[in-house]
Amino acid sequence: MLKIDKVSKSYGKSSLKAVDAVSFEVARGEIYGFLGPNGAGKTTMIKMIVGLLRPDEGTIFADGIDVWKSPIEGKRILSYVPDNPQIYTKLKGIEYLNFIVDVYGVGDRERKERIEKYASMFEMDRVLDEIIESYSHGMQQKIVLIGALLHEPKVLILDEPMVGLDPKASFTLKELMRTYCENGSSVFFSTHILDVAQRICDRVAIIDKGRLVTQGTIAQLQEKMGEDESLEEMFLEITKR
Amino acid sequence: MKELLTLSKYSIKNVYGLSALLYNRKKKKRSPLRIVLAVVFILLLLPSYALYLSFASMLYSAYASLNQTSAYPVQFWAITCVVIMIFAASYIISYFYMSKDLDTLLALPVKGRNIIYSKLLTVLVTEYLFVFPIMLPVILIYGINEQAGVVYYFYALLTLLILPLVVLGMVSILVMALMRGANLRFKKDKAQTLILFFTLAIIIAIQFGATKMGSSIGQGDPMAVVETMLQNSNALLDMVAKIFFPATLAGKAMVLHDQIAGLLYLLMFLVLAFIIIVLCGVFGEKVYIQSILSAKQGTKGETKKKTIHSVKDAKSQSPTAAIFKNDLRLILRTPIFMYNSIGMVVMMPLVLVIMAMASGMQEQISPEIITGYEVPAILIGAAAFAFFAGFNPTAATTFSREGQSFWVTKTMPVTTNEQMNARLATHFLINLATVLLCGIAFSIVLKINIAVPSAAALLGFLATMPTGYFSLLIDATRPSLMWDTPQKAIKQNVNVLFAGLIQFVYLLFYGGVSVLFLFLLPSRLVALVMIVLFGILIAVLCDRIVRKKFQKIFFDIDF
Repeated sequence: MLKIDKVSKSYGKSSLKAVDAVSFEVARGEIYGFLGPNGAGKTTMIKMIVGLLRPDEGTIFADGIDVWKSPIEGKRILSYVPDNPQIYTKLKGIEYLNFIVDVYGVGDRERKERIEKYASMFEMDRVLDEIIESYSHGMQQKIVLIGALLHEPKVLILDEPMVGLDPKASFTLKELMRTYCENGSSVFFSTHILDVAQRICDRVAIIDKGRLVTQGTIAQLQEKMGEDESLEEMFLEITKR
Repeated sequence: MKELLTLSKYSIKNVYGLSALLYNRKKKKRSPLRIVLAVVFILLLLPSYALYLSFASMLYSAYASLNQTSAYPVQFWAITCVVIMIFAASYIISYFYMSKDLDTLLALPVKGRNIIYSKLLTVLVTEYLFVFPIMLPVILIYGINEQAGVVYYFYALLTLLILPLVVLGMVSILVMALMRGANLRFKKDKAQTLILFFTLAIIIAIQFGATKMGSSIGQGDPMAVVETMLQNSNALLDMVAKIFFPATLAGKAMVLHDQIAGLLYLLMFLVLAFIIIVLCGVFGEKVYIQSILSAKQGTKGETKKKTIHSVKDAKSQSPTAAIFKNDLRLILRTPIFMYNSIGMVVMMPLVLVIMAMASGMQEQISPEIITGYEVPAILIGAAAFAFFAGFNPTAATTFSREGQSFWVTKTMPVTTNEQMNARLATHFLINLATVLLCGIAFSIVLKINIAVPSAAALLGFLATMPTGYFSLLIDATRPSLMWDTPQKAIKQNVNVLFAGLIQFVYLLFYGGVSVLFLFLLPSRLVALVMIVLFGILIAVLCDRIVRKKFQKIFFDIDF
């Protein structure tokens, strides 16, 4: 569903690569966790997938479409929730969601159904007429999340999605990710919460200093590192090298 | 003191992006085009500045011939106070009430008044950029001609450094009081918009007074101008000097620098300045900090429970319409954006009508004034309207205004054509409103049929189109997305200056071509048709060129 092939990126004059020849694939119906210490290149990688940063080298395919050669088609397949949910704070929640469904071309009937469904799921249905500026950080995160789900993308890209969410919303999101993948879509997300990654990811990849250090199922990683180790222990061991 | 210095250093570095500037110089490639444009811009400003210098010098000679040179620095200080005040209101609203660093600062174990002073000092840096070029020549002209000594220059330097701070303190107290009062009855944004438009009203009132005074003075001999100014007891400058009393004290201290009275005036000025600054800190701590804290308690996370009736009302629309609507909403709901983008639409026609009424021009004009000269009238009107509308900053800041929300625009599946159409629609709608309102204003002032001003408005609009296209391209090439106050996205955005430069050059070019048509073609009507066709051709060409270029660069905007 998502294929990253030898993607590299460096910033400005620096010869140091923020992302260095990274390759991996996310299968249909898979939850893929992207792990790494701060500054490892996770957000840079995600930004290249969703069209915010052009890679220096390599290709990115979403459902067979090169997202940089056919950006419009690529963006219809993907949906993105950034780590910092900054959106148009002067809009009402409902205005933002209507704006999103309009630009994604969601029909009248589906828009109403979906807005009601996801707003109720994240307990935002009663505050949609409020201005986003008045929302708390967690509520802003939820409205961005709802916006990302409205066109029911084939691949959901989430950068640190649990940050700012209350335990209930966090639980709802994890359930939703699972259901989403069972229906044939895929989820690619970065996180620092290794416990969550261990529990819900089908596969994980660890990136450090711009390079993909390892990837696979938790069992495969344990096979490489030692059977009794938790993901947290493996992560610490891999990233200290 | 150390706390204040640390906060001010942080604030100045943050607001003016000094750290980012140094970092980018080291890490990023320097674009030669930016340097060239900056040089061109400075060169273009030089003639206007030279004109100002000769005006200041000429005015001194006029005062000298009337033996009234003592009024010279006082009146210039009064003018400077007005300039500071005009810019201060929007800067203070922006840095005091809309800055994103407020949460961080309020959480720090620092004194509230030091937060206020650090913000005041930050605005002061911007004010110095206006005040120094205005006042330094005046100080030198007066000092050299009066053969003043070191004491004079010392007094002048003290005044130059302190007076802008005093005026800022006065305006801050006023803004904080108004915001406090307005917040009780209106929402924060509405209160800010009201204050900004209140400032506009003051500017218009000053314009009214200046025009009335100008018309009573008449034209011709500059000495006669000064004489009338001095004789006119109700003169605007006297009023300003009274409002900004410290300016009068500072001016008198400079004039009487060689007498003990001068020292006393200086001491009085310093004492008054000290009182105003202390008052600003105390008042700010009581009013500003408290109102910010209570506003935060009252809004964040405490939204009222409402039903989702809006979901039922929603009808789908095209991406272009959705982006256009979104863009317009953001402008209308963000006070600084509304003030800068729409303010001109309201202000220019009003200023035109007011100027005409104040000068008594309206009574002297007969409706037949343009009979037989309709085409030249259309062309002159069009040039004037295009000048007013052409400096609209909407397209030149279209992406910058989104700031950190730009990721939404960048990740949505919308073609570059749809993006362009939606954003230009907002820009052109404001331009069209400006030229049409100007047309109506002209029709009222000249008491003529609406046809000529309407034609002038439409031709004027045509003359602003190329700038609209290129402004959008400029902002797509170098959007200013990392801002912490909306002021930086629009007022401190250099893209607006570049767009203004393009408009200026294009008006010269289009005006030149129009004059050529008028001279070369057999009839004025034919010339007008050709001018319109030429304008349409250029607009279409710009559309083609910009669309092609925009398609290439839009997806490469790094975020």
